Amino acid sequence: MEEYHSGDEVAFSPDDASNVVKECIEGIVGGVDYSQNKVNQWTASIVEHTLTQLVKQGKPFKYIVNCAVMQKSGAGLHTANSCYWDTTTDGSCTVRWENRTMYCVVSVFAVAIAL
Amino acid sequence: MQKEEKQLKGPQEKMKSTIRWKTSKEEPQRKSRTSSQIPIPRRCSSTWMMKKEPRGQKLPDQDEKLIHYQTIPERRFSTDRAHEIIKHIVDERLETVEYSCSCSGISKELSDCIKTAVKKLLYDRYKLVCYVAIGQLKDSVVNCSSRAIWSPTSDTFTEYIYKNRSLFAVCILFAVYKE
Repeated sequence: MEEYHSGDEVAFSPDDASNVVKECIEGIVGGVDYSQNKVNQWTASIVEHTLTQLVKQGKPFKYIVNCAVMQKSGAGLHTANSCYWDTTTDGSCTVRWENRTMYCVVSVFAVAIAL
Repeated sequence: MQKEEKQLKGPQEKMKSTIRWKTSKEEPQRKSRTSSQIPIPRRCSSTWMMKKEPRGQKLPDQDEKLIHYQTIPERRFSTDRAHEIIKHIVDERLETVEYSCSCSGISKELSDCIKTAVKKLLYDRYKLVCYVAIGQLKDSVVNCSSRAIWSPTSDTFTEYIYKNRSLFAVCILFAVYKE
């Protein structure tokens, strides 16, 4: 419990989360071509890694991380999200990343815990 | 000797105390090795009481000041109901839709619609996050993965995948309890 910021409410910082997500994506699929055999492993690793890094920040949030990886083949993909929460404390960020052979869209949702 | 045990209720529940006193005028029968022959005067029971108010009465001020943290919801979020609602909305909306650039607006509209409909179920203290992805069916593979750090006793999610001739839609609804 000493890791958490006690007393004042801490608002979610999309910029910090965005940097964390980008580092995780780069670390896992940066410089790699799309592979049907490995894509399952990649999406699982990206969400897990992102969650671990977010929790390490020690902020009082519940996190939801969603990752979609799609091969570049000319097909289109649209994502949207809608949230019913406390806008002063909760927040989200979405990172779109791509390389030569695939797209990766990661969304992070952070819901504050009242301490 | 009759032995009575009395447990204190309320915030002091962790502290259990036993008060022994003689209540019968009959010849005492020893049932326990630890029972004392010396009767403990009744007034000693007051030393065990942590609350200073008279027995059986509650001070209204103290009750009002007590903060009741509800860490578990009274009514847990029903994923079945939410799934039915999502299915109904998505099937109706995308039945005649062909994939095009306008799917961007449709995905926003769908996520908003689903969130509004599930809000009407009136689950107290639940925050909702609705994620919708609409993609074109065109010889490509999409892999989607989610993970969360939350309280599994109260938080949950439901998902629905829809497909027609030209597009697919993935709708996920997360319900997070405000602790």
